[in-house]
Amino acid sequence: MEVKIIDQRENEVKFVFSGVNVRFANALRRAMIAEVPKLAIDEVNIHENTSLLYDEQLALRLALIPLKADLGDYSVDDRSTLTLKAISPERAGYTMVYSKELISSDSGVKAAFENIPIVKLIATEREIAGVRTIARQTIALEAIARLGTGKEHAKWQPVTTCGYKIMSSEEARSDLSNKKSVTFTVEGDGSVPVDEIVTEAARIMRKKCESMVDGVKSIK
Amino acid sequence: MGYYCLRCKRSVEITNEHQGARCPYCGFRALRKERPEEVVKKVKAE
Repeated sequence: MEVKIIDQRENEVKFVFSGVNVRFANALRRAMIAEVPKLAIDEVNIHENTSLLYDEQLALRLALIPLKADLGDYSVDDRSTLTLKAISPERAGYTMVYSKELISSDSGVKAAFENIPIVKLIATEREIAGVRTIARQTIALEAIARLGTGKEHAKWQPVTTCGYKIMSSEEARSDLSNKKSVTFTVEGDGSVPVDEIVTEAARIMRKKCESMVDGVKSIK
Repeated sequence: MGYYCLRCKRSVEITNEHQGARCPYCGFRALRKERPEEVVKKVKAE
């Protein structure tokens, strides 16, 4: 088995896997999508929400924000709290709330990208009988993030694009051993470095295989 | 209905027997109705 990196960027990697069974490549792809854990918002305590979005919509938007964290510091039951407080401007207009405004209780946890829009808060002004009033929208919430995997919910998927292409070279066609070369394209969502996604998926696969071997041995 | 005095913050019971409401402890006229604590809604993010 041989691995050759073709292209590597901050959140994307392209590599050729040669001398592998396609089934193995597919297992690795599935492990990257559904087994590699990452941190995502799972529960939201809403103190105030007078924005145009329903509480549930707002919670889902928050859940889909990729969070950067050192996963070595987290276990399955660990939680991290992020707070978000925002208000529309004092004059008629609007303000956009971005992911950078999420303040975490753990300094190691933050949004992978600062410019993900969450909600628009609008302020409307009106004058009735000489009295000027202004209605301002506010949000105040507490989001609880926890570790999870993609098989539970897509918000815990560390990859956006993850696929492979079987190389159709003459050499590959003439190979009768069923071993082929595949080109993998893995694009991370920014929460976990791409190289870590690939190695962690391989580690998970090995662990599963080992536990299966142990299980079979115990039957005997 | 429970009220509290805005000056001495003590809770005050108001009856409709007499006109005008005053705090029986400090005599202040501004009383505010006691509201339940802020309601926090728990939403599953999915």
